[in-house]
Amino acid sequence: MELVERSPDQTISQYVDPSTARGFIIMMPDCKGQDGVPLFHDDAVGVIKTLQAGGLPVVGPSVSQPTRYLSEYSAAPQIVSSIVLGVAGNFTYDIIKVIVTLAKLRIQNALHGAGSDDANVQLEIDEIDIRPDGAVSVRGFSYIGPVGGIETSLGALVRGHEEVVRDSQRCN
Amino acid sequence: MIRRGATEFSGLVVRTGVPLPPPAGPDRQILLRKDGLAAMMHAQRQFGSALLAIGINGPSVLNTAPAAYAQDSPPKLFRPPNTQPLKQRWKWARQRLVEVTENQLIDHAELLHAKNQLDLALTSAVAAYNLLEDEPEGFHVHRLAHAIGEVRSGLFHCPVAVKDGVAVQNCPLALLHFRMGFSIGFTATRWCSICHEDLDYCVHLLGKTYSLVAQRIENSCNICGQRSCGHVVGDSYDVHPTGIIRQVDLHEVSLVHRPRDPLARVQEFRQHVDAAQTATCDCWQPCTGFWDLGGDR
Repeated sequence: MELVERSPDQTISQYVDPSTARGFIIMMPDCKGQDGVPLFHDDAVGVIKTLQAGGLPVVGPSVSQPTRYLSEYSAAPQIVSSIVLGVAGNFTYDIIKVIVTLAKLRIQNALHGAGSDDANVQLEIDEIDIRPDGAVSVRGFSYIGPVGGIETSLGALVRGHEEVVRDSQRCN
Repeated sequence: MIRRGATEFSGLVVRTGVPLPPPAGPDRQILLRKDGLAAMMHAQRQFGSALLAIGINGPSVLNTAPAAYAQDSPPKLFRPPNTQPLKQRWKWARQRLVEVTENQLIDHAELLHAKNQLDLALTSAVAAYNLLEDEPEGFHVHRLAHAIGEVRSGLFHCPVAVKDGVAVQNCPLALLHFRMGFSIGFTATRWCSICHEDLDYCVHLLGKTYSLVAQRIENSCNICGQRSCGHVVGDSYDVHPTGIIRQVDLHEVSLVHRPRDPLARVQEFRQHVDAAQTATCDCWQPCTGFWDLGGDR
């Protein structure tokens, strides 16, 4: 399991207006084709509409043509699903639960319905925040490990962030 | 047998019109095991039918397991292969077959039936091995394939040949020992298997069950995607929506040790040779092991 801060190379502002998407999770394309067309891995098929039907705040990039999915037909990959997400606003525990639900659904898709907390997932999250002074800050996080470990790891991240905020308030 | 130095090969990169197993997980194992055991039973039946037709009670060779399985088998099965007596035995068997055919003890039609059954049995056994490679039955089905191959090649010779200066190796038993298959990478759109609309925007949700009336669409069942199945047209079945692949754009084809489709394999090696050269296949001999692009395994 690995949770590291990284330099975001793909931010949600490419795909949605962060000021209107606040509180939403944006499932971003996993890569781009040679012609620049955004591509999702095939375990992302139908995920957004299924989560939205459950009332979860998940949106995708707005594209005019049917989404193209990338399939790679080799067996038993170490990483069952690679997911790229954007979060407009700060991480909260509710947001983390949505991320976990999304990741588990993509694992189920990849394994044809067989969900497993042990299946390895690569999760990249860009968090974008607009401060009261209008400044935009972007942070990127990567997680590689079992899908069952996402909640604990991101929860620790939120707790750590809260402690930093409390400490800074105390200093002020 | 053509091995390293092969200049060209061709094969099946992916099956279409059938549901493919997932890349990993318990569902993959269940599906591969189910299909593999069915193929193994086919092979056993076809082999039995061939043996009955030509009056042979069973194969003569048991020491065919490769070294990789040595630890799982009785030591007596792993004597160094001594092919000369075996060659003599099959020479005698071929002569005997000619005699009984000339004396009309075996009908020509029966002999042809036996040969066809052996070809089918070998193809089924090779498919079964590709599906059961990681299962305990893989050991048994590998030996079964060798037993079938030995009888087929021993009695009728392996149909490997040189034609127009090209040696073509398409013996299923020889190809079984090349343990690599095809993996493809492509992009495509996905359409709902229930309503045939864009799966990202239709009303059918993943994981939900819907009632669907069975019908044949483009020669495939709309319930299971198989060309041949037990679903009755007009009856209703509970189904989950799945994605139908359309507008495929192929990106790459790779050789991998574990292809997502276990039957996506090399079907033919071709090598340019001197016109006078003859091609031989050693599929009647005891197994000498598996190989891949890195060499022997």
